[in-house]
Amino acid sequence: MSIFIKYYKSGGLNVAFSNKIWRYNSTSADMAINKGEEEEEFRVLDILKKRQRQQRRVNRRADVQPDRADRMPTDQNWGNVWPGPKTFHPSSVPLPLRQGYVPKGQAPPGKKANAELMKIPNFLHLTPPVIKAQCEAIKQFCTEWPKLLNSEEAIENHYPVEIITSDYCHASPSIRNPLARIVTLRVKLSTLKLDQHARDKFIRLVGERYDPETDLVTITADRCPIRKQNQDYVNYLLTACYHESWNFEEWEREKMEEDMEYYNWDKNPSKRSLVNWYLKTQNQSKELSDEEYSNYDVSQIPNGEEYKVAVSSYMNDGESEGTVEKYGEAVRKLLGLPQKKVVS
Amino acid sequence: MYSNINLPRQWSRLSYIYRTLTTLEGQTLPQSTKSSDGISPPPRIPRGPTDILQALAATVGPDPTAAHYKYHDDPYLIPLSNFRKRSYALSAEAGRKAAAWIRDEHAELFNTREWDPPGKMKTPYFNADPHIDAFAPKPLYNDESKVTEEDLKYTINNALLEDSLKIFQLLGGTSGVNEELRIAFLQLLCFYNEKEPDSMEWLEERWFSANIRERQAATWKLGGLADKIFESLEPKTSEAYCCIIQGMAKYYQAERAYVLTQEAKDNGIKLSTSVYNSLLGCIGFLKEGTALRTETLKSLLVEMEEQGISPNNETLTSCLRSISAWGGGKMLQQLALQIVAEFKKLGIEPGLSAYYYLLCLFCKERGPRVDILSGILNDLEKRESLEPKEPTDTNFFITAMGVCSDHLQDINLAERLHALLMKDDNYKLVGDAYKESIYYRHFVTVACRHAPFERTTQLLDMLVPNVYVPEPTVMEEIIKTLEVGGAGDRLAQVWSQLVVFGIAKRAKLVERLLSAMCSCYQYQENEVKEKMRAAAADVLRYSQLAEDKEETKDLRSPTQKLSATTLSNIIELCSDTQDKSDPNWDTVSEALQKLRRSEAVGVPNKPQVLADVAQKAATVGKAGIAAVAVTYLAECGFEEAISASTQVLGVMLNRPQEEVKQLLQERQGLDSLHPSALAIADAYHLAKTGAPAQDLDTSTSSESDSESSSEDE
Amino acid sequence: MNTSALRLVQLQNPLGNLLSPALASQIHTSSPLCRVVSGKYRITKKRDRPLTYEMANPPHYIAHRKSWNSWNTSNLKDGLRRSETAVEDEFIRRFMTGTWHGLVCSEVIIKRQFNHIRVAAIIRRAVSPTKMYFLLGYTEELLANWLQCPVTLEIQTVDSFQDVVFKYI
Repeated sequence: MSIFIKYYKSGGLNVAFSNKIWRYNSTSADMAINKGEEEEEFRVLDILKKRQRQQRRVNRRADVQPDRADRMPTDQNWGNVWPGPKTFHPSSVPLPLRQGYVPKGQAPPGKKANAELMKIPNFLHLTPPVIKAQCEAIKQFCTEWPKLLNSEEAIENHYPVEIITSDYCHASPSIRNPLARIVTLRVKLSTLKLDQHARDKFIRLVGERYDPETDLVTITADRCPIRKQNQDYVNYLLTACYHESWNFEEWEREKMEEDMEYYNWDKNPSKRSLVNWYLKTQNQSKELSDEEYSNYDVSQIPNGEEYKVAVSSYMNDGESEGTVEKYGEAVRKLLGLPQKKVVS
Repeated sequence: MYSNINLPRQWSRLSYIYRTLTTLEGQTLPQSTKSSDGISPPPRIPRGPTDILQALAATVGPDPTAAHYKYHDDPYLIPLSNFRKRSYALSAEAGRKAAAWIRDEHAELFNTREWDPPGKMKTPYFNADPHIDAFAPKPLYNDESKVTEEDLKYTINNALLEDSLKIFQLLGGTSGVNEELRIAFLQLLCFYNEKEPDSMEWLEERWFSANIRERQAATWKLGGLADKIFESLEPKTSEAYCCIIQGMAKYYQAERAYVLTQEAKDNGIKLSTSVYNSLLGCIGFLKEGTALRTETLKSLLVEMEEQGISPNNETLTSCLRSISAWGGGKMLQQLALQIVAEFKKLGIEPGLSAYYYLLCLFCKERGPRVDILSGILNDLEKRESLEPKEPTDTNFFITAMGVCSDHLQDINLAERLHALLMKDDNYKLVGDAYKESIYYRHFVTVACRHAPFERTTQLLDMLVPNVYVPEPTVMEEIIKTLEVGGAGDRLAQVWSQLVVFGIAKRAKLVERLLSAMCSCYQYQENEVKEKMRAAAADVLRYSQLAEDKEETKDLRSPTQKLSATTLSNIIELCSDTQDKSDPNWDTVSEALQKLRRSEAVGVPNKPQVLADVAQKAATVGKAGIAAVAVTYLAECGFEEAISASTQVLGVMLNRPQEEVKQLLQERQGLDSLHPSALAIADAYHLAKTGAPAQDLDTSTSSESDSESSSEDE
Repeated sequence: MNTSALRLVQLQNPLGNLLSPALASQIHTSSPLCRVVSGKYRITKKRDRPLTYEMANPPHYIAHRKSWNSWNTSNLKDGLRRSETAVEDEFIRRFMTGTWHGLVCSEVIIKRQFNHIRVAAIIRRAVSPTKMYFLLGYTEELLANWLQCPVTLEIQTVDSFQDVVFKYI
């Protein structure tokens, strides 16, 4: 019990009310009034009651036994002690580790009660001997690799088609991942039996999925929800393209010179101009028809073959130093001009 | 796609190689792991979903310093005594039960569900897919729940007896349910005798439930729900008869079971093997007297043959069970062996329970030594794996180990048995916690008594304290063995182990330990001697603490006081120092005080020890201690007191013996002596004449002398 | 931050009130208000506020001197379940602090591997081991049922809070 005295601040309106003084009894006064006896001792006023709390703190902490790590023999099998991924526990790991950033001169905090050591992922469960033992245990489920498939070429030879799928692991309650349904099929075009026309048609059908540098056709499917369905779809696409490319449709006859995918010198104006020029030099200017142009035997024209080869390679293989040089040489030879001087 | 298929020319072997794992369906069992033609992949080795995990788990061996994995691996939380092991495991289980209760009570709050395939929807659990049963709330049935027959089927299949009873009631009792379901329900009731079985979920309870053997009394509920349902079934099929007879036989209602069997036979209803097995099991309740019982057994077997029912190994087990329950004796043993031989001819190997009953029959405690265990072990070791087929299989190992320990006292058999238990997966056959402790108790006892010392210590290191905590009797055996082996430091350790295991209050055990320590004290190295001294001092302190605690709290059973022998042993151990200021002298004086104040039970059995101690104390310089020791000897009336007092006085006064004796005779000039010497003189006279020296002179001086001498101590 | 704006206003209106609406709207960008205050503890006069290592290093030291408390795969490219994981983590932290009331001496560390959630923390030894086991079983079971994944607790016990104190501030 304590003595309370409360004052009201007279803020102008409270003048009418008298200042009230609230007073609660003190221990001694009350006791004296009520009992009137024990007035000899003045009891101590224990406001904060500190002492009682301190007495209860005596806990028997002697129940904690010494660390398990001290009793571990040095030649024990560590794989038995730490079989799986576990948060670091200082009394089970017999290593004197320290972790933490401290100013210069201090020692980093020890391994006990160190939350940083508990946070980092540890690989105490995957020491090299343990990995070896686990590999040995799994080997019983492994089969041998076929003997003849000992090089890349052999594999490509026997197994030309590749199917690429991905599996995903995530830390989540479910193992499903929508990205796992994507299936990619890769095959080298040279392994498929296609003639000139079929190859051209195949490439046109497949479009940009064909990579001319590596000669690979890559077909990807992800439109079905399940991987198996996507696999079937991809297989279907390959077979369909293949068969389609062997089919000859009527409308393919309408293929014009502009649609041609390679440069056929015989059908192009370059031959026409060469023949015309040749005929002019022979003083035989005739008007030949298209067919005659294409059938004209170029070997009559001196250096004509070379010119044909040079122009074809220039057009088909692309423009580069070599092709341009060759063209230049061929033209010089054709026109009888002297060769380029080689300045050494 | 397989490359073995004949593909048309156009395709030219479009076989695939998958960079992910493939499944080859439709293949027969692979002959080899190699590829047949060097190109196609070899046939896949079939494996189950957890085979790889099991293979990896097999690489992990036991860890001797760690407790069982169900306990948390923290020094504060590892249990070190049987009481704590039980208490920690059961409290963890209690926590799990509390959580399960919360989940069942407030099932509508636990609504996290993952859809498969993942989507945006989160729905209450009964819609989610996949449905994880382990984390789903248990369905509760009370009076208002709407139930269908599906619910009844579910509860029957999961052995939820109370729930199924409730549902049965709600569905309208015997009339509301169709016949199939009624038979299934009847089977459930018969199996469990209308009592709820222990739930499969709460493992620790089952592990620690000290299996109170079901009293072999007729506990079948006569006229209960099972009977009513049986009555209501028209017509009574063989299934119904089978299950009710088996139920009755299981719970030892033998007569009714027999009557019903007769009925069934009269009506020409076929009964199954299990029925006959259970009937064989309860013959003992039907008839009295060995001869009659044997008759009934044989007649039942003959009946079985008549009906064309082939026996299985359960038949063998039930026969043996009955036989072993009827007592011992040559006749029954012969019969049992006959039966085993017959069944072997039929091709039925005896299982673990059969062996258990055989052991019970043959290896009685007071009977002649019969060594069938080695034969049994040979047979079991030859088998590839031991499968538990009946609940009594778990009794085999403990009985066998008991036989090794008590009956045969053979350590080699014990080792073989233990190796068999540790092989592969057989450890599960040890049963529950109680059985495990019995097994190890026998094992450690036989090892202590008959195994070489190194093996015993190795075993103890492996087992104690994580796998097995020894009981007081076993502890005594261990102490004896250690004493014989002369392992002083281990004995010192034993004391701390006693404290930790909670059996340090048993005075007899402490006495045994200290006498063991004393007897092999001389042959130890110095470090070990120190440890033993420290242990001895600790014993005294511990008993002091225990007494203090007893005063402050009201313990029901008073702590046993240390015996005087114990105290004298402590004194002997602790006094083995030349160092005057060694704190062990305090221990010695404490102990002596206790002796004088008669706080110890009995008297020391080797009073010479105290005399030696007194002398030693005098030589070192602790005169007070010497005085007290001699006084005590005198007060107790030992003869050694006289010689001891003269010797000690001689040492203290540094005079030869004859002078001392003269001095004592004269009784004069005693005032000039040191108070301790005075005390010794008193003791001498006390021993000689039964009264202190100064009594004859002034009384005050004696008082003051005794006061001063007591102060000096 | 907005010092230039201040000068501008001062030049234009030398007698003006600095708390005019034009400037008051930018007060949140001024240096006393526009700074990081999270995770930092104020120095006390008596220098006796205990800080753990975690508390002593403010957030900009994460990945330099501190490590993360929550380890899962939701941060990777195409990581799944990012928000649900974060919310679950918060739930687990509050649950741990509430259930082990006054006993948790460090941050709660949550690691997820596939669907296994491992919760780690440092706990004071203020209650008897039996009670601790009860709390262990209860927490594991309840969290597993709530999150529909197996949960294990990996706690380290420590004598008192003094053992985790890194420095006094």
